[in-house]
Amino acid sequence: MTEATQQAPTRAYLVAWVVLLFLTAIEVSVVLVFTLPTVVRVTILLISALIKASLIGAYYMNLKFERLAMVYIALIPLLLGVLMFFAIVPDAARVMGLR
Amino acid sequence: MAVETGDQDSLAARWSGGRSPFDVSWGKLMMWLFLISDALTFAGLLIGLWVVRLGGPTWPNRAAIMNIRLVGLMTAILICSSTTMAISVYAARQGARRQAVWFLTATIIAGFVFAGMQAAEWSHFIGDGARLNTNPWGVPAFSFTFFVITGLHGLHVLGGCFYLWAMAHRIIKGLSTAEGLEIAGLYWGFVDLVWVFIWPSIYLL
Repeated sequence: MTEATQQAPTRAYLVAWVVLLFLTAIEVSVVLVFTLPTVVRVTILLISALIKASLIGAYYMNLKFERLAMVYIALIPLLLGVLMFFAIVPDAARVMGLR
Repeated sequence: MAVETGDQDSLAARWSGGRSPFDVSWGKLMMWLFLISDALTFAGLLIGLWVVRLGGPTWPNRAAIMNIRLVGLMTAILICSSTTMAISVYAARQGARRQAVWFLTATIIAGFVFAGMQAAEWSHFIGDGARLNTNPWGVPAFSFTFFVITGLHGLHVLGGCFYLWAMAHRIIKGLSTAEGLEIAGLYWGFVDLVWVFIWPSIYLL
């Protein structure tokens, strides 16, 4: 626990809470309420998920108040996971297309 | 951050051993290592879901099968529980033990409500004819990925409820420090973080 952690204001938690709920409402409405082109809908959902994940990591998991090295050990494996996804999708799609 | 200045604080001095380079306690570091390995488990499952989905010709329309509004409400409940958890940790750090336990109790209740709604969602899905390896919509992988991914997450929520329950007991008895609660809060934040990706992957996209 560092000095900065102790000063983390509850106001930041509440702002994060409101933004997270707002983004969830947007996510539900782009699927159920608005009829949007697929590209737009997917883009909104992906960006929304990334913002939500960053907010939870930064405030609720205190990464904002840790050393940068802690952020790296949390972030880098997940970036590698995304890389793995893009590496195997074309192959999987090709094999399944052969069936 | 005591070791920020001076000649000693070269990169080599920081990382060559004999000190804690992340400036966190061993408990917190161990929780982070567990969470990273757990995150990779979920990442593997979600990547599997997307590979199967993009490789297959069709995927059922979730909005016609599942109750998106109900699951949206579940998502909101989980977000609220993360917020009460963060406030509970904050209160514990300020030494307000009673307040910390109250917010922790709210978090636990929200966790059980989420798990209960997930169970209702499952029984509805099973009632419609979905099984682990077959379902009426003609894409076996659809119900398989649903049960495995939401099931593993549901177990994390339930397990987390009992973890937090134990922490509430320890805080009341004065057996745990604020840092112990903060580490439990990391776990709970992670459960919410994973749901942020499961929820669009399974229900929305």
